Amino acid sequence: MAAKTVANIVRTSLGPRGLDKILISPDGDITISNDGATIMSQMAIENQIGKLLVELSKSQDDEIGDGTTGIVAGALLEQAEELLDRGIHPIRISDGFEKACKIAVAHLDTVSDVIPWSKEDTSDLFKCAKTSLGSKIVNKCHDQFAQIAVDAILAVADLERKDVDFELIKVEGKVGGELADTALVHGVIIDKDFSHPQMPKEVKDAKIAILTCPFEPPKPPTKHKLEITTVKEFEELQKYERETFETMVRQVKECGANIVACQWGFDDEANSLLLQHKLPAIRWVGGPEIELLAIATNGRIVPRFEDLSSEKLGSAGTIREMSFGTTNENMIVVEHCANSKAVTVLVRGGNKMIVDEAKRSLHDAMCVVRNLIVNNNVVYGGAAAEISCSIAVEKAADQVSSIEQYAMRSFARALDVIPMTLAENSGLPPIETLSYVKSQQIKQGISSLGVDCMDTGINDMKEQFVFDPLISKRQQFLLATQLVKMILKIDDVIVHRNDEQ
Amino acid sequence: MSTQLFNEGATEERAENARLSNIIGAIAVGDLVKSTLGPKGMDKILQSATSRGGDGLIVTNDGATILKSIPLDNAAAKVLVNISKVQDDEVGDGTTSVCVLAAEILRQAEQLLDQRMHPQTIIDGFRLATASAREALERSAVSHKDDEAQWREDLLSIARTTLSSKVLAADKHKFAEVCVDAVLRLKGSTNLDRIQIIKKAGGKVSDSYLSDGFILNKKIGVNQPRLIKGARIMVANTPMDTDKVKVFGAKIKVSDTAQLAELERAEREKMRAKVQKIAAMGINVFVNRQLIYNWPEQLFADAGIMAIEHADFDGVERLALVTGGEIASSFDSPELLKLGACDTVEEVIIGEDRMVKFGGAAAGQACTVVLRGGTGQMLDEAERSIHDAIAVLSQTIAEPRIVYGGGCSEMLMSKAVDDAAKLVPGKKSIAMEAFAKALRQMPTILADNAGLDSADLVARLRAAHYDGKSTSGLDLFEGDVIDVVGKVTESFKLKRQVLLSASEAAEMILRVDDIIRCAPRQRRN
Repeated sequence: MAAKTVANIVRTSLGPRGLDKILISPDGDITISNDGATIMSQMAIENQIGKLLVELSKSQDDEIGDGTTGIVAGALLEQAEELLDRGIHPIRISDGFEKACKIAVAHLDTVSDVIPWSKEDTSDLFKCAKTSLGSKIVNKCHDQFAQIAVDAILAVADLERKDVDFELIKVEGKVGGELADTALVHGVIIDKDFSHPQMPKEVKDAKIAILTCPFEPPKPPTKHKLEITTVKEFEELQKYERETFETMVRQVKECGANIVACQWGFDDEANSLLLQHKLPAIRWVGGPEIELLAIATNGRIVPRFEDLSSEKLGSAGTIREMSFGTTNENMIVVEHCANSKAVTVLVRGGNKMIVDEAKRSLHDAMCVVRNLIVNNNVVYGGAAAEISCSIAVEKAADQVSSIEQYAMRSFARALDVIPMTLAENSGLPPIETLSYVKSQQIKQGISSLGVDCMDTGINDMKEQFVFDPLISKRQQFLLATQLVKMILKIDDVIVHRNDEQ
Repeated sequence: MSTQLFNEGATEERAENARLSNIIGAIAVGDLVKSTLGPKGMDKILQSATSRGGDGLIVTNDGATILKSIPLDNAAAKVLVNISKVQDDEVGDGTTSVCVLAAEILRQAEQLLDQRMHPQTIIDGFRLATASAREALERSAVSHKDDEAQWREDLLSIARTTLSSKVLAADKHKFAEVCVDAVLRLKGSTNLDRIQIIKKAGGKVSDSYLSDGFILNKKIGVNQPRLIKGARIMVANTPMDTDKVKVFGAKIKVSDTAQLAELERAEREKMRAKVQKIAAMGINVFVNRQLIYNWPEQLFADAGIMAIEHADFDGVERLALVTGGEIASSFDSPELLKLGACDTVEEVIIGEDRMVKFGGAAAGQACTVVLRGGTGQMLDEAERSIHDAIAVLSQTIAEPRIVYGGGCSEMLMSKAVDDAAKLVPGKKSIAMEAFAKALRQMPTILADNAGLDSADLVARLRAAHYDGKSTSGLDLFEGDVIDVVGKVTESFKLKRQVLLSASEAAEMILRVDDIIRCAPRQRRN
C-alpha cells in the first residue's frame, strides 16, 4: 500500500512531459526536482516499505545514475496485492515474478540494438544523452546540455579500458546568467581568489607548484615546547623565522614555477614575499580540487618545500581569474592543461533551484553516456522496450501450467503501467495509446514502437532516436523484482517504540 | 485506504492544489512589490521582529531588500525571492521588475490552466515567446560606445532611470553624474568594492559628492604631520604591536626580572629596527592594516612619517589600488617593493569625523562617494540606490548595449511575441499570447503606480508601437506617450536578465505538481 503511494508520487515525473515536485526540507530549504532518486531521498518517509522503495531508487542511482523512477516496483506490488486477494500464496507469486523477470530480461537482450560510436562520431551518444535530459527542466537547452555531457565524458573516458572516472568531471554551479550560459571547461575551475589582490590576474604558460604544506612557520606535528630564555635565543629565532620564509619562496622560485597552488594558508609575510617574487598564489585550495588540479596539469602534489623540483610542476596554458556579476565573486580557471582528462562543467541558471536541478540532470545524463561507453547496447525508449517485454512475458505465461502463470501475467500488466503513465503524463489517452502501440508491435513485429510523447506523429523510437542503455533497463527490472520479492516474503512488521526520554 | 507514509507533521499537496498554492504564492509576492515599481513607485517600511525601536527599521524601494527581509513560507514565493536576489548579484537593479514579471506570467498561466491546458504545453509556448522576445530586445539594443559624448549621455540616462525610482529621485541629475564619474574611474573593472561609500548623517542629500581623492575613514597618529605634499605611501599588512615569534610553539620563559627587562629591550630593538627599515625606504606615509602601538607610532612621528593604523582589509586594498603601491608585509628588500604615491595626503573633516584624504593619486582606480542625509534610514536607502546605480553602470560598461525604458522595450517584446504567436500552430500560440499580455502588464503597472489612466495610456502606447514608432514609451511625469530616445534608457543586460530569469522561474513553478513538506525541525529552547 505504502509502496503504491510512493510510486504514485513519482509517477507524474516520468517522461519528457513529466512534471516536477517541490520538496521542503525540515529547515525550510527548497528543492525542485524531477529526478526520482532525489525526490525519494528528500521525502521524510516513515513507512518501512516506503523506505525500501527509496533504497531501491538510491541503489539504482549509485549503479547507473539514471532511470530511477521506481514505478515498476510500485506497479508490481499493486499487481501482487490483487493476486494475494485471490488467495495465491505469496511465495508462488514471487516465483512467478522471478520467472517473468528472467524472460523479460532475456527478451531485452534480443530487442536491444548496438549503437555504433567512436571518438569521431558521437551523434548516437548525443541522442542517448538527450533522452535522459528530455524529462528535466534543462530541456530548454537540450542540445547544449547533451553535448556537454557527451563531451565531458569523452574527454575523461579511458577508451581502452572502457572506463570513465567520474572524479575527473567536476560540476560547479554558479547562480546567475541563464541555463544557456552553461559551459564545459577543458580544465579545472577553483572557487578561490589569488591570495594577494595585486597579483596578476592571468598567467600564461603556467608552471604550477602544487603544495600541501603551508607557507607558515614550521609546526612539527609532534607535541613540543620551545622555551626562550635569553635574548640571544630570541634573536636567533627571529632570524630563523625570516629565513624559513625566504627559503620557502626561493625553493619554489628555483624549481621554475610561476604560480603556486597551496592547500593551506599563507602567513602575511610569506604572502608579501610571494608577491615580490612575482609568484601568484592560490591558497586554501580544497583536497579534491587540488587532486584534480594535479591530474589536469600533470603535476605532482608536493608535501614539502624541499621536495620541489622542476619535473614535479604541473603545466597549463592559461590560468586566469574570472569574475561574476556585481558581488565581487571570483573563480580561477585553469585551462589548456597538459593532461586534457580533467574537465569542469560550469552550470549557470536564473536561481539556485534551477542550478541544482541542472547539476543533477547533467549527472544523470553523464551516467547514461558512461554506461554506453562501457556497454553500447541500447533498447528503445518511449516505453517500447517495456511493451515488447510485456508481450513476451504474456506469451511465455501461456506455456506455464502452474499457478505462476497468473503471476507472470500480472508482471506483464505491471510493465504496461510504464507506457500508460508515459501517455498520461503527455496528455494522451493512456489505454487507447497502449493498446494501439501494443497491437502495432505485434502486427508489424517491430519492437521499437513506443509512445509518441512529443506528439510528432512517429511511433517508431528508432526514428525519433529515443534510446536507453540496456544495462539501465535491465537493472531496473532486476532491482524492482528483487524488491517486490523481498516485500512479499514479509508477513510481520515489528516496530520498536522509541524510548521516551 | 491511506497508510501513514510520511513522518508525522509532513504534508503533501498534489496536482491542482499544489499548482494553485504555488501560483497564488508567487502572485502574492509579485503584488507585494508591484507598487514599488517605476519612478512613481512607493516605498515600504520593514521592521524586523527582533528589534523594536528605530534600529531595525528600513525604509526602502529596492525589491531585493524588501524580499530578503520578509520571512516566507510558500515554496514558489521563495523561488521568486531567490531570482530577485540573483538579479541583485548579477546586475544590481531590476529586482522588482523580475519578480513582477514572473508573477504576471504566472497569473496568465493560471488562466490557461483553468482552461485545462497541460502545463508542459504552456511551458513550450512560453519558451517560444521568451526566445522571440529576446530576439526583439536584441534587435532594438543599440551601443554608442564609440561616440564618447553620446556614450556618457547614455550612461547618465541609465543612472537617472535607475535612480528615479528611488529616494534620490529629487537629485537624480546630480547623483547620476556622481555615479557615472565614479564608475568611469574604475576603468572597466566591475569590482564594486573599489567604490567606497561613506555615509555621514547630517546636512542634506544634495550635499553629497564624489570626492576627487580617496577617503580613508581613519585617524592619523598623534603628533604626526596633518598634511603631506608629494606623498610616498607604503601600504602594509604587518604586526606593529609586538612582533611575535611564530616558529614552533615558542614561549618565553625567564627566571628573573633582569632577563625579562633584557628581552623587553630586545623586542623594542626589533621594533625600532623594523620602523627604521620602513623609514629607510623613503616614505612619508605609512598605512597599516593592523594595529600600531604607541611606541612605533612615536617612532614614526619622530621620523616625520604619517602613520595610519587599523585600516581594514577593503581599505588597504582600495588604497593600494588608488596609489598604485603594493601591500607589503616584509621589509628586507626595499628595491623590490613598489611604493604608492599621490600629491597630497591630508586630514579632512566630514560632518564631525576626521578622515584621511588621499588626493591626486597616481593610479586612481578607486574612489569615494560621500553621502549626506537627514536620517539614518535615508542614508541607508540612498546607499542602496547608489549601489544599484553603480552596479548597473558597471555592467553596462562591460556590455555597452542599451535599450529604451518607460515600458518601451516591454511593449516592443510584447509586439514581437504577438507577431510570432500568429505563425505558431496549435495551443502553444495561446500561451505565447498570454506571455505577451504579461509583458504588457509592466507598463500598465508603471502607469498605475503613477496614478495615471493605465488602460488608456497602454493602449495608446501599443498603438504607437504598431504604428511603427518602436521607440515610444511612457512619460510618467506628464502622463503621455512620448519618444523615449535619450530620455529613459536602460541597460540591455538588465532587461535581458529580467526577461530570462522571470521566464525561467515561471517555468520552474509551472512544472511542479506536487509539494512535499517535511515536518519542521523542532527548535529546542
